[in-house]
Amino acid sequence: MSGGVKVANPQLNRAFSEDAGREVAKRQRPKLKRSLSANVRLSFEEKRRKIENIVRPFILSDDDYHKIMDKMLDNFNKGLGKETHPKARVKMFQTYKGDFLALDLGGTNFRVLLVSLDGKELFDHIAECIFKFMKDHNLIDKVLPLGFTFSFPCRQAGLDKAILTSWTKGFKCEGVEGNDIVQLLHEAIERRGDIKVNCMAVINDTVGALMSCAHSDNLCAIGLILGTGTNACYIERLENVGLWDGDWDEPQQVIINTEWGAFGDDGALNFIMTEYDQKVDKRSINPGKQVYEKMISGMYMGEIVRLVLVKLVKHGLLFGGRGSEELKQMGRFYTKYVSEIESDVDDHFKNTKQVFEELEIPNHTEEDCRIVQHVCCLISTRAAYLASAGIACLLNKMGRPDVAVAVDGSLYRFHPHFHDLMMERIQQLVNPGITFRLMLSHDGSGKGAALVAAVAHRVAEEKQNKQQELANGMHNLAVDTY
Amino acid sequence: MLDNEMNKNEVQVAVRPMAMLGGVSAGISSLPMEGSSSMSAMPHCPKGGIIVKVAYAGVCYSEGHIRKGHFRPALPGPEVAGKVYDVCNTIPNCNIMPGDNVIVFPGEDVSEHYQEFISVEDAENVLQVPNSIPLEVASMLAGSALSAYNAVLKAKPHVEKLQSVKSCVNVLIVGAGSLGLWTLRLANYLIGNENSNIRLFVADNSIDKLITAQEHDCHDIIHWCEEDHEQYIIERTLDACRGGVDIVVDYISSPRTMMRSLRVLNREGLILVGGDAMTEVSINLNTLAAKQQSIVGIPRGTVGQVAELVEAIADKKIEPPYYTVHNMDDAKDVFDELFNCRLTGRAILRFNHSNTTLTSDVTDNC
Repeated sequence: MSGGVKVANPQLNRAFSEDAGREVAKRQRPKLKRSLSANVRLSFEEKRRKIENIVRPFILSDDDYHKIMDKMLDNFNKGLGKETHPKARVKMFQTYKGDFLALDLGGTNFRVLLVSLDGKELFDHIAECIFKFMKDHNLIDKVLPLGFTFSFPCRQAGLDKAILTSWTKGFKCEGVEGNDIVQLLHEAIERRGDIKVNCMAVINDTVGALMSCAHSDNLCAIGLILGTGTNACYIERLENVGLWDGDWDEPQQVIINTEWGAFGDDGALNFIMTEYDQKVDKRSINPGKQVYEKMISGMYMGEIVRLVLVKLVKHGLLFGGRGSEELKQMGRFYTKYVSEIESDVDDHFKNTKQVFEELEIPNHTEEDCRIVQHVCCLISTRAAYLASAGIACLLNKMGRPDVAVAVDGSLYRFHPHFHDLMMERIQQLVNPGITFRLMLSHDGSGKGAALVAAVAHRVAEEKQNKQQELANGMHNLAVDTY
Repeated sequence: MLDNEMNKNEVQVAVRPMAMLGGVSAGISSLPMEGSSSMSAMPHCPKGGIIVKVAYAGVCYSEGHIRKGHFRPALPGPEVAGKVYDVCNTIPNCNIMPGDNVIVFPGEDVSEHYQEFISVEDAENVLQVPNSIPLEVASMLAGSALSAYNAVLKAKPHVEKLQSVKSCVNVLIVGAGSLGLWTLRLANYLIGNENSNIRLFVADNSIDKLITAQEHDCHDIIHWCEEDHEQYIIERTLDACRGGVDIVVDYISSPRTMMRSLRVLNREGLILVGGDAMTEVSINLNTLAAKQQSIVGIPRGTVGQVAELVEAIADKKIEPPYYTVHNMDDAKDVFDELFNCRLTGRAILRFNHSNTTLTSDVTDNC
């Protein structure tokens, strides 16, 4: 189970046509035809045909992707426009840049512990985490400027004021939506009375990714998250931001948090939605919302695969028609399985078989391994291409000739092909004359057992040295605990 | 009664040796409250052996076992405490009497498992429990407590070796069930908490179990959420166990837990494995060799060690970890709750004795 190794798989030399899926199947076919009688071979063909029919909806055409890009651009402009903003689905929130220490809420490490709390308990817990961190690092007596990486859609009224518009990614804490999360945290800290935290700032994780890459590549203009959820931010010219009411000093630009996960909430993506997407959406905690996100991100990818596998089993096309109780459970096919299964590069199918064991599939053949890998492939590829369409749209919109895209998130980090798929696809969709690169942002929210991404001692020193540069802004001092 | 006469009585009725009045009397041996069904289930007292009437049995299971649809752990299982029902009179120097509180040391020679009665062939495998120890606590001592004891004993020399050269020794316990909780108690007792440079961590898939573990003096808990990517889990672990992990005690020993353990283990690190794995695990021996790491099985443990545990508990040197007690009638609900991790710590079933229970229920021992 390798982690984070992006290797261009020579077998995945995809043709970007409607036959892409058939290409993949064609490559696999010779092996399926091994020493078998003609009769059996015939039913193999039929079986393969039936499988292809079931999974075909995941293979989209070039036209489809161009149509998606057009719709996305339309949505972006609606979000930016003064009059159209209120009803827009893709909100394009303005952000603020600042200099601060970061506390990360919204990554994988935080979600699992707190789904059942209410708002007050949530922020009490966060305050406690801050306390523990400060205690561990002997910072209790200090008055620290603290920043908050809050990875949920927020309307920001200022550097230190952000109102949560709605929870996503499976979160559901009462009493937070519509409120200023900075204030909620301040109140929790005051309830404790044992720590002093100051100068709060809120940023989105996409902005965090962008800023941390901007350190090393100053042509970084897009921040992209591909993890539990998906979102992107980019640098927009002030003249395009209808709601801009700040100053017009140079540089005349602002980072826009697109919150593009909500794309498709008005039905714009209905033309490509499969029955599996519809099922996933219907059974989710926020049906009808975050449609684009649900077709891409890690929170839902495993479930989409599972639904397809269950259907294949039902039609006798997989596992000899016998699955398992585990496989029937909603949410049981973890997204990490998709990365693990696609990491198998030979016929041993070591990872795939281990997944089957964990799912307690009683009987499985090598053919089953191939089929499951194929399904995972199609679904992850679609996700990568959909995200690529979004990025290409932003690149075209900005029109900058040379752009670095900072990316973070488990899907990007751990899936063996995501990076390569995106590189190829964006290249296909982007206007000529635009050069781009995808860079992994090491500002990952995957770190931090203590659930607080905070500033280590060395950064406090660095901060002193960098006082000259403070005036220029654009520094995110979000640092992990080591 | 003489030995050969004992052998003749191969009927279900057991004879109380203390009540020998020159002959076998069926009347004396038909005890009150025994229905006819249990009479027919009564094993005969083996030669040199003891019959124990089970009072408490801990519900023991392995991680893989519990995931199967029909979770029905074997009862009474390896964690048994009860009262002596009958003793073969030929045992020399035997001071065990019917009515004594005892623990049964599980072994191959515990023949004839009956619902309420256990026939133990070797009297050495029955240990007396002082009245100061509640029987339900005693039930855990020859099971999870004993395994944990052996894990800590095996780890101890390694810990001491590292302590002398490292500023901090990190010990990771995988599995926050009864085994893990006992390991925390015993590690704190044996490897000492005067040295704050030994840090105990507990990892588990269940948050509820981790929250219980947090109340047993560990440095930190780590959520090994099965949904999360392996790399995240490893990073999370290394973040908590700064400096890497020196010793892992893995009671789950699945392919995933072993892979994670090996990825976080320091050079010369030690992994102690329990024996409950449901599937085979493949390990890259080259890495093991390169990093001079070792994997050691946790020994079963001896009766003598159980006696040591009994003494330590009686002397209040160790406090038992959190456990819950339930009536046998509720067994099905208990299995359900264990399956859903709604119960943490060991669940102990009380066998249906409507009359005497020497001690009151202890449902929270923290």
